[in-house]
Amino acid sequence: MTKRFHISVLLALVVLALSLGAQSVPAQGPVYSVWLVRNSVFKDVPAGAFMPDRAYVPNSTNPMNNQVFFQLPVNVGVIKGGKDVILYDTGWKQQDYLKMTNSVNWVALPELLNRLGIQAADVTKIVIGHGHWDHAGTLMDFPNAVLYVQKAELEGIQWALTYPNPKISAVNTSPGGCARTPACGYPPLTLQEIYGKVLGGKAVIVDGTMEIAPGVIIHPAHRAHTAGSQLLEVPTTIGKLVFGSDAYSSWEGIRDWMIANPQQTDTVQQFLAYEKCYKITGGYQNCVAAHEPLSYSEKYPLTKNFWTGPNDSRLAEVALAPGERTRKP
Amino acid sequence: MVTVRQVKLLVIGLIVLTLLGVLCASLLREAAMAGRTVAADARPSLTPPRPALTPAEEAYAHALWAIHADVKNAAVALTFSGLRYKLRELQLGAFGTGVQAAAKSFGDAEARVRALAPPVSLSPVHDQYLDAVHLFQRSAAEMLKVTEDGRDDHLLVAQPLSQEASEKLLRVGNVIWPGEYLPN
Repeated sequence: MTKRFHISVLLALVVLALSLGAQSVPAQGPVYSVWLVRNSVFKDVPAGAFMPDRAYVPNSTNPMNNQVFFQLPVNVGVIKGGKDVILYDTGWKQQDYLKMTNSVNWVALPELLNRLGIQAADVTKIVIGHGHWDHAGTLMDFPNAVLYVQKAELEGIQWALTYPNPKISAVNTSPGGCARTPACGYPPLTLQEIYGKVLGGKAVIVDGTMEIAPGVIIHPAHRAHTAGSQLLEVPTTIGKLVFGSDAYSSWEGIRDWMIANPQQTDTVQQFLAYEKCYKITGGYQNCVAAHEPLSYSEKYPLTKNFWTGPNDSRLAEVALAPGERTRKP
Repeated sequence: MVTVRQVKLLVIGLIVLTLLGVLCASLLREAAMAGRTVAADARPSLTPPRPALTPAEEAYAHALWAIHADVKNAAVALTFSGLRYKLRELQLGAFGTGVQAAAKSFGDAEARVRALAPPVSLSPVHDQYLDAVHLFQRSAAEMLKVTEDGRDDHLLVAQPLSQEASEKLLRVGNVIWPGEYLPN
């Protein structure tokens, strides 16, 4: 009886250890500190425009279809380790000339970084998930940073703009505007900033996969949102994270296998990008989404350790490397 | 042996416990509802709507919009000419052809903008748009010098001009085309 009891306890301990280990596999090699910050909020975006499967159905009690609007954060990843401070996306820069209708709570990215003890000049690398204005809009604010952009992204923009059918080459200014056309969302100023980085010798044109720091790996996710979308794998103390920009607009979308933010998206490629996160991280919990409406709440666990910054912004401590002190007030 | 007094105490105790339970449940429910109210109210407030354009302003904005499309296309073409040349994806000849085509578009656009008669209220906008087109023209002219002497530093001189012009396009858009760019 006693022997059987001991064996049972032992087995229980083994199962407990295994389950704990499966939940949090510390990365091998260097690990990085990671924060997520909210650059602004796009207010009252129709649910169906963001996630077609969650379009609002009047009087529906189904939580999938009973929401009229989403409040979408514009999230930027901040990654620190070794000699590097890496940004994944750079949000957008509100100016007196660019207010963006239905946008609130905008805060300059350098100011948010200051709250983390990081100066704009400290940023060494910027990986843009794609080149849209609200993800690559502040490149010149980080003069020392080297930009990483996919070759396919630049080719895709140019292909789209020179396509002979005006219905396909349409940009914001075309008759009827643009929403899903392949050249939509790249204002001249954003492209100028990318070009400025290239001219200044501060750009790396990536063609596929690239390790940009020990363990920090760019993965192509072409057509998962735009022609040259790219993911970023980052090792941390809570396991590997994968940043997805708008290939991962919604974390719930990854969890529930629903597409989100289908601007220039091949939905199959978006699903394959989701699968990439599952494969790298072992699930969906560590997939970092750019516009997840549940961000900065318990419901999106990666961001639950958050605090409020200037202009009602949000900052979340996702993972701290050994020796890194918390910045949470 | 249980006395009547003990039974009474037991009954009173149960009643008090029940009341406490009801009180706790009510408090918890109120707290949850308050949380939901906060969540519902947590929607950020909008900035007040801007005043509508007058009919004359609308007509000018509409007319300039058509030209604006061509200016933006030329601006992006100019950027890509420089970008692809710098990345060694374009030979010097093709680079020059691309920049010249953009320069011609800017020249055509300038003539079309000058032909517009803006309402007085939009004169500053009109002037700002012309400034932007001129900056693009200067940028293109500077870039073309690369085809003459092969020196890439002309691109470094030209790029800030295009960048300033691009900002001016957004400034004009902010006045007469609010919502030109949507969340992507």
